[in-house]
Amino acid sequence: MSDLKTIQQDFMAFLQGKPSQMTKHIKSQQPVATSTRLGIYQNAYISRLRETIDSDHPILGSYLGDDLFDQMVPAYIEQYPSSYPSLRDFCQHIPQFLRDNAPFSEHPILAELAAFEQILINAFDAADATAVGPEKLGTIPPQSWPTMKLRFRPCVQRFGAHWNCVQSWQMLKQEKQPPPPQQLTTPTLWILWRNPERLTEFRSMEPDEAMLLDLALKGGDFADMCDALLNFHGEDEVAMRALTILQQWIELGLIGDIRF
Amino acid sequence: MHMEVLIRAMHGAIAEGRGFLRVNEYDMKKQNLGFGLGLRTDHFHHVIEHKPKVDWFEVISENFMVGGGKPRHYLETIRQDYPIVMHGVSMSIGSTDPLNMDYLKSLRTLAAEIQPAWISDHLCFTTIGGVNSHDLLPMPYTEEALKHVVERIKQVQDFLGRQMLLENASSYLTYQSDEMSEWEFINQICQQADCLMLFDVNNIYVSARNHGFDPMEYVQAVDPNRVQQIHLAGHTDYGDYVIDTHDQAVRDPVWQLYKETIKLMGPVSTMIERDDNIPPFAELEKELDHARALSHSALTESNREQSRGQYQCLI
Repeated sequence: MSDLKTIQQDFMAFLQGKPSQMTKHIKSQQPVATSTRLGIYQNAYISRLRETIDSDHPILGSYLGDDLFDQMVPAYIEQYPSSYPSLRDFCQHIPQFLRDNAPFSEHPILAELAAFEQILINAFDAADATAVGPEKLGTIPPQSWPTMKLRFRPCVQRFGAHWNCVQSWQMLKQEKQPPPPQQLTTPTLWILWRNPERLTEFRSMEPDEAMLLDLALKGGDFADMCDALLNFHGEDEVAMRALTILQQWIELGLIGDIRF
Repeated sequence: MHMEVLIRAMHGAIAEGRGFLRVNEYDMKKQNLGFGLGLRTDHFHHVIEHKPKVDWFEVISENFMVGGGKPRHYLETIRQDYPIVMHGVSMSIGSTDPLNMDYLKSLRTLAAEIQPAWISDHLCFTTIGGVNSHDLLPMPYTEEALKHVVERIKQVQDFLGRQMLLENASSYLTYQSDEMSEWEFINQICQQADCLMLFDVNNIYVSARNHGFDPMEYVQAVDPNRVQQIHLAGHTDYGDYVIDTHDQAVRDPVWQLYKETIKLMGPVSTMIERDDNIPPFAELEKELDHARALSHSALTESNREQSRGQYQCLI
């Protein structure tokens, strides 16, 4: 192996707290000890990643409290070292980490809370796309309605909650005490998007609306959506309900295009 | 010019080994952008609303490698009024890992959208074995490392279709295997890879203190024709060593070193690089005014010294 490669591998192993020959590559320079010199790099490595977790997951941090956060950070850094050019992507495995590792895995709300914070980030910097206006519906010929398909703007994200994590997020955001963790009797589907002022918004969906969203995201057409609504509404109400939901989505600016 | 004369002139240039990159280099060297600042999220609104008298802005490339949203929108607005340069932290040019082509593609795409005056990154390695340290880890100054870095810069420049700037990083340790000084190493790289240099005056001061060399030796050794941009930043002084924290104002010894640099190199695009503990915009403008004044007096003094030298020759 080349000398350069050996030094670089030893350096990385050292930063990660693994056994390495790093010290022997370093020239002794008084008055600063080699351990101090290397320590500067090790501190920088850990503290930069820690700050990233702190800034991407402020609410998870508050929910966990200092002790559990301090327990999570080094374990996460060890299990999921960054392989990304940007720190923007470093935290993306935190929900999985929290699902897999005790004591965090004993509280499923934690992974959900982390996933919610990540979805907020995804909505924040997703690709731009113009939203279609209500006039778009007028351009669709009547015979094309059954086969028309919706394309959502890239900022639109869905989030399924099995715990009261969104409510907890909201309380902590206002620096208030969150409610005790509670499993929901029926999961709630939330929709998140970026408004015209480029601020992220979210709201919960009615069960029939949630089902339509999933269907539309999977590429179902308007006829499929009306069929699915039969599970919730009478035959004569279905078309009107589908249209109402579609109009709401357009008003919120969720729809990037309607293909027909 | 008559077409035939033009073609003959081009053939002449090719026969003499003058390539197009060299032509670009001279074009770039003429471009002194003046006095700029690192563009930070906290100041987006201020810059858009007040259009401050700052000549240009530098952005961290990786922060804008996202699909869209606020950061890209603000940058798009700001770049209508100011020249932009792109500064990266993840090229990992010195690593023995293969070049990350996905990263380079994102960089090239971003450059096509933002149209920066130039693109820079650091002389260091950040990623090894696929793990990104997100730190600027120092290179050993050896012939092996030199050859490796030169080869990779050539590849990057070919891929980006432009020269890149390489910044000297600050360092806290020295390798046993070093075969030359940092300034010899970086000079050789710039010359052999035909790249330019982002000269970080603070990093030179920090490394000089940490390794016990005279920073002026570094400043005097660097080829001024290669220096396209200067960074000024703050550090934290721990007595026996100094850490490049970028979280406070530029300190006096760094200002002094900057003045000496300008005296030797002439006018160079200069900016304040503040990454943490971001102060109100006005504070950074004040620091930038100080850089302007220092640069001005350095150039005046250096002219005076030069003319004195001429008179002495006449006598």
